[in-house]
Amino acid sequence: MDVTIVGLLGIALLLALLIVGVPIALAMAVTGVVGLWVLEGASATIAQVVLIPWDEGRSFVIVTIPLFVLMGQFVFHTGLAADLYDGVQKWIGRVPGGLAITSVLACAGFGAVTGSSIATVATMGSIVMPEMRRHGYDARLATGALAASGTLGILIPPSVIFIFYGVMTETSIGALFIAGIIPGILTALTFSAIILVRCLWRPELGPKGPPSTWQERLRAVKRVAPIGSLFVLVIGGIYAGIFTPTEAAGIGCMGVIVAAALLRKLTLKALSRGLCSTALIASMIFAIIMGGYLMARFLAVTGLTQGIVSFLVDMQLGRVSFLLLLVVLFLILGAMLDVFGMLVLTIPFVVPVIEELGIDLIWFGVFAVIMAELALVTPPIGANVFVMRRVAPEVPMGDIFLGVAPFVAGVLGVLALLIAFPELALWLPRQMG
Amino acid sequence: MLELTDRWSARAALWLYRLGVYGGLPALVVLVTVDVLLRYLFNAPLRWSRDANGLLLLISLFAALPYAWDRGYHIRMELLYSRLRGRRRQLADLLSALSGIVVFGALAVQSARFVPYMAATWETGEDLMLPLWPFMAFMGVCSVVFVARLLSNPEGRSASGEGESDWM
Repeated sequence: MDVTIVGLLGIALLLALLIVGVPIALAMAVTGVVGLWVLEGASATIAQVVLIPWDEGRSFVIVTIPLFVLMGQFVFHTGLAADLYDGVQKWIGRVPGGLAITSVLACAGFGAVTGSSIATVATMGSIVMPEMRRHGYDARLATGALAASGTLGILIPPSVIFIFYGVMTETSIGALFIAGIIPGILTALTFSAIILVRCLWRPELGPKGPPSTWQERLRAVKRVAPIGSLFVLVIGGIYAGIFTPTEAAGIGCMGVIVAAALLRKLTLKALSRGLCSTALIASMIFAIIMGGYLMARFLAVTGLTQGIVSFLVDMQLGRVSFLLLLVVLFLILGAMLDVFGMLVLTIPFVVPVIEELGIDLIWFGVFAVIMAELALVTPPIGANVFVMRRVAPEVPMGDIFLGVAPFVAGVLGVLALLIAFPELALWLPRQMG
Repeated sequence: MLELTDRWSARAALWLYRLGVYGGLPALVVLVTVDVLLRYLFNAPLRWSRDANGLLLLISLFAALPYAWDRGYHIRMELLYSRLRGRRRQLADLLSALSGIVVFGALAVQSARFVPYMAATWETGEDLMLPLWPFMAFMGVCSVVFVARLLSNPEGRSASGEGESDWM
């Protein structure tokens, strides 16, 4: 049988398995195994099945995944995040929509020490939502702001999605982290501006928060310090070339433990919970990486990827048209798949085209993560919205999606800026030590 | 027979998970940190730390795989799956389990083939002079336990339904 037909049949099998609900990792792995079996025979295939996890499972780069997940988990379970919210609220709380803006900035701060978007919504949602309820905030504005701000967790470094992308495309994880800083800050500022403008227009949406004295504000700075120091230690260390991302992750984990111990927030229960969740999350991500590699190897043998690259390049779409096509593709995929699934299915096809068009892979990493952000808040999957619903069960799902809509427009605006000015993502990585 | 498989494999999955959680992961954090501190404070990095980190990672990731299946830590497209009921749902679960059995069954078989060869040639890490075959065997054991879990618990969630993936 022609290898291209085997490749197309493989993709059809993969899609069929995904549609009936076979877990993404298993669907990709079994398609890769069956496809390689047909093309290369049993012994070569079975050898690949062992060698891929044996090589990747001992990779120094992949050590970064459990360590950064663990760092975020420790911050989550030791309760350092509550101090962060309190600290920011003392400074921002009095402006119109102040509590919602505080939640955006606190999510950005929390995102600076954790790599998960859903952890950000779950943590900040449970802290901020009762406050916003108490001050009579509009439910759509409150839940929309929180669900959207949670996405900052994967754009502001460290980010599990950046690590995943870096592993799949063999690009520098350190450079990806640094590239996410300016777009992350820009997104946080855009979200804050959206809230401020809406609350200035209609003050009843977000009344002013409680007043704070200057003494309270200065004391609040001390409460934000642990998270700020951790960010400087981890990301500053990577930026200055002192640590590799893996080393920075290890130091970050220890840093959280030391900070929590000094603040008397460290308990055995928090440590144990952090370790337990990390092992499960990391093994799940690893299974997806393993499945992705098997599938990618199968596609490489069929030459299908090369065919698609030639087809798209021959269309002479140009950079902007191709990226707009990708925006539409990612929006459709994001409506059906989780972030990891979306990336793992597109990267083997899209990255060769990106390279052919001369688009920087670090820049594209930021683009892909921003698209992943949208997938997290758009229907029907919108994982962040589901988590928000658990935090605020009284707000209907439809209202949360409507509340998120202005922020989706904001993210698309940031994306347009990024396409128009790629240096927004690339300037900082170029200055790296 | 299936009940017996369920009982021993559920226990094995839990023990493996605990080994990863309380052994592999903390050791990984400590080793990475100690290596950095030794390098910057005493200019004396551990030459073997990269090899050891890799092996600890392998232990942590594979040890948690079977239990992660039991706890529902896997990502799937829910659009159709969440609407399936009764036999259709069972069929979808069976397809998932079969996919896993093919991949991890092959992994278990091939690792059993590699182990004697690696032991005979005394294969070690580049800097860490530790034989690698026990780690390959460990990967095989975890795969066997995972296949057993897929056979006895094809829907991929513990009977109590606790702890579905709710963090990522």
